[in-house]
Amino acid sequence: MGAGELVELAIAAALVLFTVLWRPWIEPYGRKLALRTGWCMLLLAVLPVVLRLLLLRHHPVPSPDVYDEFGHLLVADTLRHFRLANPAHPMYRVFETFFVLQEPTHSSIYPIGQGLLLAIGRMIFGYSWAGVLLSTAALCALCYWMLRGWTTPNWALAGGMIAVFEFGPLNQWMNSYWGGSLAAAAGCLVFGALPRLRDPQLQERHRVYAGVCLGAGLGINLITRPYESIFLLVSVILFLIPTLKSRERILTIGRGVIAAIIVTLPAVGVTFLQNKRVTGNWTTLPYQLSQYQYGVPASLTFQPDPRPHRDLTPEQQLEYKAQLSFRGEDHETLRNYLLRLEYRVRFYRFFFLPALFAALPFFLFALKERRFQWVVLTLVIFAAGINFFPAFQFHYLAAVTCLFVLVSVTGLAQLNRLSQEAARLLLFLCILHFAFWYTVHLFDQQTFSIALRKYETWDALNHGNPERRIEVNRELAKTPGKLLVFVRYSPQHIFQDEWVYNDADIDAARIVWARDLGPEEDAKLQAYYPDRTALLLEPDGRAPGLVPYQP
Amino acid sequence: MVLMFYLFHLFRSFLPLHNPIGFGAADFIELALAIVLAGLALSSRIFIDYAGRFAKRAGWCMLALFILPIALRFAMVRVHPIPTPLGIDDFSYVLLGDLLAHFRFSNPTHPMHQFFETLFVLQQPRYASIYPLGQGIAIAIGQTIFGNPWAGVALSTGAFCVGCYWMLRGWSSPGWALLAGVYAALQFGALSQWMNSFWGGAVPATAGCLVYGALPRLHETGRRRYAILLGAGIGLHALSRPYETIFVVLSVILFFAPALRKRVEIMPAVRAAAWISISALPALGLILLQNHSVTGNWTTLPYMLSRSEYGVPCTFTWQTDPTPHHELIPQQKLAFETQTAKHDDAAAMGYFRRFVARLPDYRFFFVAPLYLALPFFLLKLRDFRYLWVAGTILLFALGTNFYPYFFSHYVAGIACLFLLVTVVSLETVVSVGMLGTGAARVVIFLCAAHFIFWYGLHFAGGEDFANTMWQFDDGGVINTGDPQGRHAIHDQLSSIAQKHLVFVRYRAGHAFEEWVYNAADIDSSRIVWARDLGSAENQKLQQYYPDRSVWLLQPDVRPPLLTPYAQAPVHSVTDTVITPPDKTAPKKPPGPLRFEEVH
Repeated sequence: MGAGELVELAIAAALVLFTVLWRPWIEPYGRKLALRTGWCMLLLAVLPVVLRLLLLRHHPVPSPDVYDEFGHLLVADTLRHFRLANPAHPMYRVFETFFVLQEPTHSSIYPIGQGLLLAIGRMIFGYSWAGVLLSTAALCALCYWMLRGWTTPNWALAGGMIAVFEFGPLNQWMNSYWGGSLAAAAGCLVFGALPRLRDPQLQERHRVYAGVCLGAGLGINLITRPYESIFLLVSVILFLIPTLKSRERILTIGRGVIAAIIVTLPAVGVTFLQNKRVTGNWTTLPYQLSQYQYGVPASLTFQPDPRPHRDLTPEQQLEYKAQLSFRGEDHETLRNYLLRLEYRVRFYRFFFLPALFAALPFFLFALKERRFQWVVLTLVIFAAGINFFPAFQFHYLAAVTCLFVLVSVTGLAQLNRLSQEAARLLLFLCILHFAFWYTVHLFDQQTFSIALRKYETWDALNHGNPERRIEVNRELAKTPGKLLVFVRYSPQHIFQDEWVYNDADIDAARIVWARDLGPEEDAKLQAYYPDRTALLLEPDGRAPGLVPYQP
Repeated sequence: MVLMFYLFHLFRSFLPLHNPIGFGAADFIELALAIVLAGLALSSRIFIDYAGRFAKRAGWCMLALFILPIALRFAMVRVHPIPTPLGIDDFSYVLLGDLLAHFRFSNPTHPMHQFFETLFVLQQPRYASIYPLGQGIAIAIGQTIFGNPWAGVALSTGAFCVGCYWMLRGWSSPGWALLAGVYAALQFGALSQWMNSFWGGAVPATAGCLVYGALPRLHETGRRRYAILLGAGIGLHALSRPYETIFVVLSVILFFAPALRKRVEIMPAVRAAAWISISALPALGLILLQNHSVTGNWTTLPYMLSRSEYGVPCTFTWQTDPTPHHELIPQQKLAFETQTAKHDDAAAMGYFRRFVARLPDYRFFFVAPLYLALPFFLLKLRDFRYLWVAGTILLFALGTNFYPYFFSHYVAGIACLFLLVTVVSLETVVSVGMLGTGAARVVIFLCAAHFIFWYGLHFAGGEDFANTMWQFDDGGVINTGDPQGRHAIHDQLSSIAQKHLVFVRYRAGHAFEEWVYNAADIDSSRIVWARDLGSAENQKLQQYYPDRSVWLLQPDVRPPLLTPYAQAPVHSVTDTVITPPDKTAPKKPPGPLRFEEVH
């Protein structure tokens, strides 16, 4: 039997099995379970975590590789020391790296949301990645909660499961430190709270709770993705505007809105405090200071190019040029803007399983309802808003993740009205999609798995990479005592492959990573760290070379 | 405009980041499956109502089923042109068709026959194909009516699909019969090897439909016309696959065996047997005539003479290897050695292991989702009729297991029984209740999705997507492009309004891509293909054909190279040149031939 036939048979067997089990088993139990909010949320929280942990044999705890990940980990480490910033190091020149400020404080340029999560994970479980797992669990559970405010319990549970399949064990958000799930969970709180807040049938107490959730969501999003919080706030306002038409309705939502504002305030406060601690100014974001000092990250497309006000290392210079290139040489025009918008359509596949594309047209039937028109408007606002970023990352849209799930589920629900069988089959295909690729990863070293992997799209499960960093870290772990590692790049060094990342408290760290600035400068650092064993790392060889440092 | 852009460039890349909607190949497949399944679920009620009514109109159904595979195949002619012969069996069948189109079974041996030696074609005592008439008749009809031998293949496929519907009307409800007919059209039609080569399959399969469709009707009604149809089916089968006809006849006898226990049934059975025999007689007569015309002996099949002369085709596994009694050209030697090796391997494998190893080959008759339904057929085995169906299939499987090779057309006669098994299995699944109906619908939907996917891909054809996916098309065998460069050579020769003589010069190591095949009437055909026997011998043929422009074809150059013979380098080509048999020299006893000896 050939591969095509085998896959076809597997699909057929799975679909027939689902069909046979659906009426007597899955549907009745699913219906009962869907009504139990607590149990559902628990199940949806535990499921992605357990499924991911089961893959650990072939897909170990992710190791940070991209410089944004190191930036978030520095935030986490800083927070673990109950600080928002670290004092500038006297030898900071050797620690220059990407997306980390050295002056006026040694800090990451990122807001604290993702770092806070990583810090919690590290403090409770000993692994920063545990924080990532927690955020995914929260996203899946809250997705169900959000959908309960919009649709029936059954479809909410189906949506929660879709969230597990899409944003769970195989997803980039769960397998890196960049984030996404936290902002998405915040979005769930916001968009789940909104219909509840406006629901006159709910008790006043529950509407206040909804307000608290709304505030919490807005707050979390603010400390995670400040720029996108603007659009989140706009969408909230748009949702509540119709309420302002009558006094009675205003009174309905009044307490909830006040609760939301009160709950959001600490996040606003923390943001200001972080600004003050890191940059010395209440209103200057670390991000902005980085743009001023290093010229990165690139500014929004309608803004002028930032100019660095600091001596850049060769790698920083290249990064600066690379970020400028994202914007292109032309000034922003409507045509550029629309072309970028059109180009980015492809990235939305991240939020929909292929089978769900077949359900999307049926969502149009739901547009008779005002609330779904608002959903579309919100998605348009986000898409248009983040289109001002010169580059695109999925987590820019994270806050509206649950709205994408809502659109999918509503499409399925509309289709279900026409044909239950059709909706059921699409749902089965979603389950099958996940089960198929999950199985492929579960048996990762099998021939069939290796052969199939090239057809997998948009999943981003780590395969024991980055191997070189893991290998070097393993070598360093074997070396006893405190270490000082000088990193020497070759002239052909790929600038994004940065190795100089340090803990929040550099002096207390077991391993200090430093740039090799030549024997004279290096000697100063060695003198500063007399008790450390100096090593030299040359990462650009075929295998990264780690040897005792000799000036 | 933007919408148009997306519609026409959706498949421009299967790297998600390069694809306009971020889809990879697997995503497209998944989406296609989702759309098809949802579409079928949405439309099934209307469709079933309509199809249910239509299925009862036998005439219209048969017409539709006849047209369907042919129309589908023609619809993809742009991407997959009308098949031309490629394999050695193909050419032999086309020769047979050409002979029959001239109302002959064979032609006299050509005076220069040593130039025309090839595979599976007898040169002496007569110039003829080694194959039985059935497939040749279909090809001859196509050639005579439409001017193209493949038209006969297409017609036979249409007839087979009609036959399937008719056969199943004798066993099942009209709805299931129509479904099976459509399945036959899709599975054995445009994408199938049977319809895209000249090897056949559809002719014995149609014969099988006649036999197995007539059986239950004859059993129930005792009408003479069903006996005649049954006999005609047996006759047609004998004309196509003589050996397997033994099993067809056996299965017919087994079907009636229980009835013969009752005395009152004996006389009607005898009468039916008489009509069956009478109806089958013309076929038997044709076989005898062909034998006599080709081999000079009423009871020696051309096939058997070929075995004696050339050592091919190989014998059954229980028989000893044949010994060629004719001096073989290198290509014939290679074919003989390969077939002998295959025979010996198959025999050494043992009957049971061979049987088990061949079971996967029966996938030809089923698409993957049906495997889930097939076990339910076992539940029907309490019924004698279905036990007999299983027995007949087993009989064929066991009988054809004596062949060293296995090809699907060996068991083509029972293709309609495989369809019956499929239908009965699905009916059984449906009878389980609501769950069963749901499961059966899913299986049928997936079969539909399978065909929509592959047909869609072949219709779209030629694009990156198709090229990426064709490698996974396990069942489909459809000609694409011009892999051996034959079209290009034919086009080159056709562009010159003259008669041609083409000397074919192979390189050492040339395998089975044979180019020396000629029409039934060699001398009057526009192109004569001849082996390059060296300049001295070639000159004789040139003198024999003084009015022809002479070419040298070197098929092993990529692409095959056709040059005017006069301009070709004159050198000895020892690997292909054979010495004409010296009739006076004592014959060397034929010993075991080794592959190396030809080089």
